[in-house]
Amino acid sequence: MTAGPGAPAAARDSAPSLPDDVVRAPAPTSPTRPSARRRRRPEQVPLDGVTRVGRAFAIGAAVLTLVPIPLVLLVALSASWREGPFAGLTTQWLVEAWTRVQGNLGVSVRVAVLVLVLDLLIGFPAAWLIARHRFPGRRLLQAVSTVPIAVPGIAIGLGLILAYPTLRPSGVLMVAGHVLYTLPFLLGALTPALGDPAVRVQESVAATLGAGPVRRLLTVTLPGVRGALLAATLMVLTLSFGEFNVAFFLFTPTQQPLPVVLYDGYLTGRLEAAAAATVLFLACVVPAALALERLGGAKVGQA
Amino acid sequence: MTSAGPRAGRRLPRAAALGAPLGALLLVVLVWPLVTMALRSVSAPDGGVHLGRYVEVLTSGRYAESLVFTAVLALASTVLALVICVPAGLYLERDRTRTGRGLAVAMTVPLSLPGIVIGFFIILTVGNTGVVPTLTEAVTGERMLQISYTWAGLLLGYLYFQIPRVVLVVRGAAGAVRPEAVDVARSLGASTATVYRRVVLPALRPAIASSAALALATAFGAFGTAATLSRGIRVVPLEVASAFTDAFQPELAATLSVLLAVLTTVILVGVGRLGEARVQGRPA
Amino acid sequence: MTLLDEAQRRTAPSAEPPVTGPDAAHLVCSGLRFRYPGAADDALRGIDVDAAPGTITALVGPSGCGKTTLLKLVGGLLRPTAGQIAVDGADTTDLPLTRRKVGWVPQQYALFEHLDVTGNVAFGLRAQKVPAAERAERVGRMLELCRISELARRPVADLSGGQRQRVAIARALAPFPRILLLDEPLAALDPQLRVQLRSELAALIREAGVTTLLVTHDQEEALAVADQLVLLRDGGVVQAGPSARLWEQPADAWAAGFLGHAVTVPGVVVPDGGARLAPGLVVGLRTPADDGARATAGDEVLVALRSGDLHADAAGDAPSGEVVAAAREGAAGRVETVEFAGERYRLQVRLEAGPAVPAHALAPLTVGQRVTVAAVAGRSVAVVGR
Repeated sequence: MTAGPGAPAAARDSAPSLPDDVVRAPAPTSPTRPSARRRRRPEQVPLDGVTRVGRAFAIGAAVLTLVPIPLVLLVALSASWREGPFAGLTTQWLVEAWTRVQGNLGVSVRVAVLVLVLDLLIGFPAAWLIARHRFPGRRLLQAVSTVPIAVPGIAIGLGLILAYPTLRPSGVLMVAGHVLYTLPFLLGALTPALGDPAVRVQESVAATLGAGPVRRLLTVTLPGVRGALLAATLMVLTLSFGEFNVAFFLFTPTQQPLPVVLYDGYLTGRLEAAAAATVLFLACVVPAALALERLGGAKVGQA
Repeated sequence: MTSAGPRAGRRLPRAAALGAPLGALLLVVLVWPLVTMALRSVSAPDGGVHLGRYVEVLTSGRYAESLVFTAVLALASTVLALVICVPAGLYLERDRTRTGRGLAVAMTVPLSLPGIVIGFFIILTVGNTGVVPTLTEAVTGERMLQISYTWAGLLLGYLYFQIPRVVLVVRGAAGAVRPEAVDVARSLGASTATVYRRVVLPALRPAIASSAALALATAFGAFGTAATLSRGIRVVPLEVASAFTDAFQPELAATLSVLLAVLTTVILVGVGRLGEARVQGRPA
Repeated sequence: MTLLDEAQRRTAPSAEPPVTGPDAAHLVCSGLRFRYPGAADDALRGIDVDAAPGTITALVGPSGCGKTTLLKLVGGLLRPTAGQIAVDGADTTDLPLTRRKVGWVPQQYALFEHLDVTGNVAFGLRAQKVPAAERAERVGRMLELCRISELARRPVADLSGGQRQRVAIARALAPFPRILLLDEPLAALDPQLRVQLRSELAALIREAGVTTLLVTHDQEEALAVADQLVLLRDGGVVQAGPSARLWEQPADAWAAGFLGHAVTVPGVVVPDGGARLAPGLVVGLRTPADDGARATAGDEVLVALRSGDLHADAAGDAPSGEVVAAAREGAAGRVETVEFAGERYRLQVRLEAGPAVPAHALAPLTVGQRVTVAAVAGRSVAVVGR
């Protein structure tokens, strides 16, 4: 052996790049290695003409996308917007909106959870199949399962109502439409994760260690894809929660999801009331969107 | 690859069961409804098949005009989004500081917002009693930028949902352009313009094509934003809704839907392919 | 220190009782063939491997030679198209992966990132339903064996490359596998660390006493770690046997070139047992392979020259190296390439008599310079063909 056999392995391993003659500190006992946890502060790189223009555009676009959110809050809190922004603040609109839409919010939450469960039951095995097996028709299955992204939501809704008119009162059609519309996003997140060679090698190692299929799924595969699973879950929940186009033809009068009530408010209600209901909606969706951004998953729904 | 994972790639008959629920869903909820819709659109009153409705729709003033307007709106918003997002995406990929990341998050927020909420944002900012007109009235005594229900308001709304879609794809592609390639080009004496024309843009071409396809298809199919904002301006998805609910002409609604679905699918597949073909076809 | 020295210096398997289970297994692979589905040719074309209990066998060869495929066949990750894998005489060819009792350490280690070190090492024991008390005791012993006891509760994401390697080995050894399979165990590490850790790796496996197959593309690593080499090329075995024998008696020019980067040049056997490569340049010959192919005087042979076998001096200078007394005159040539290699210079010299030969020099020489090349005393070269 070239290195001192008596030295603890960790002391040698933790500083592999140090030359041999450097006196080494004993192995760190704290669970955090300072070198690994130290955040490198990214430095500002020089910008050229194009990226400088890009920065200006990015700032402009960010203003365009962000400014309405505080404005919605401002209007929702103003006592009477018509009299101008300085007429005083009130929470009355928010309280009213809450009593008005909480039933619809409940409908939306229930639909979203049901859609998520169905998505997982249908999508997880399908993503597994597409990611891990080569079979004739695989590309076709993949292509067809992305069609709901291309077909406008209103057309999906119309197709469902024309094909199964008698099912409309049950509310089944809206759930089915949401499942169809959200499934491509779930597949898009899960398929690459399940196909990741790193996860598959871990499964093989687990098998050599004696773990059967169920144990492998629960203790290796699911933890291995949990990031993608969480991203897919958030995506499906927020997409279903805000979905309006598919639901437009399919909702039942007794089971109106939140976006339908929002839409009514936008067409007929007072601006303050509509803003207040929108605030409640945003309070559900924006945190999920930010969490999703942290997970690195992005989604592209319909407008 | 059969090598990774225990027994991968074997036993297809059993594995096929994994895809059965998806297959069933696609058949029942996607294929059959689309087929039903297509059949309804060509069904003649006497039970036969005729294409009269398509001829009618494409030649009638109302629907042809609506198609043209939808196309113009979709194209204009897509082009504007590309003009904004290609440089912005390049910038966001380069700037890894807090500012850059913050801007990136801000630009992708609209992804989780449904079209109706985006429409409401436009009403709220530049509508009749919107924030901008109200504030300008308070300051100058004159209500300015009251554009929410005009074509400009619609365009702004469409732009709002296009930006995140385009920037996401462009940024991903910009991240794949190796900075060394740009540095090498610079060291060889290429000007900034040449570097972008010869190195960066060719690398981004597929991303630009696919994001343009996505943006166009989304704009053609957009319903919520238009439904909230449009007073009198009828984009095709709105005509589908009113044909079914107001006029109760399901066959007409089906005809318009089929047209729309075919259009968006062709755009998504076709424009996306364009980018690939151009890249493959380039001389070395 | 040459590779050969390192290989010979190694001690025999430890006399202490092995840490992993009662006895090491005898692995015999016979006639293994494998073809990837849809491929036109066999990836492996009838491989035989015999690994004695407790030994380390290195599967070595250039990339694409089939060494990783062979490892996967032994591990049960792939099923052979033909042939048999026997462990202690029992055929395991068709055993499912979960019951083969192999310890597999894949190239990037594939640690379970969501578990800590103990969780990783205990994984196999849990899967095999080992009672908690025994499990804790065995995990403790494994951590000790791999010298990572102080990392027991660390999340594996925090570990360095060398530490990850140890966790992977501890995880593989914990359920007492019959065979340990290591796929490029050092490739994921920094070059400096790689050299340091390879002898520690060998010591650890010997202490564990488990029969081990190790895949590597690095001939130096193979010589340093293994008792036995299986040299593979294009899906077939070129040569197999104890490391020192492969080094001293390469089967052919390719094997000589792969192990130690030997250059093959023609020579003629001379009466006292050496070979003349050029007028004035005679090298010693090693005892040829025991296939009875002893060369006799006058035979034309191919000999494998490594860079330390010949010494070069500027023409006209007195010999500065430890050259053979009998060949003091040497052969004249011109320097074609010079490479500084620390304590000496590595050269390629074009002899006036024709062939280009590797040589080393103690003083710097320049390209094109006239030199005299002579054999280094005590070195002898192998015959690899005629």
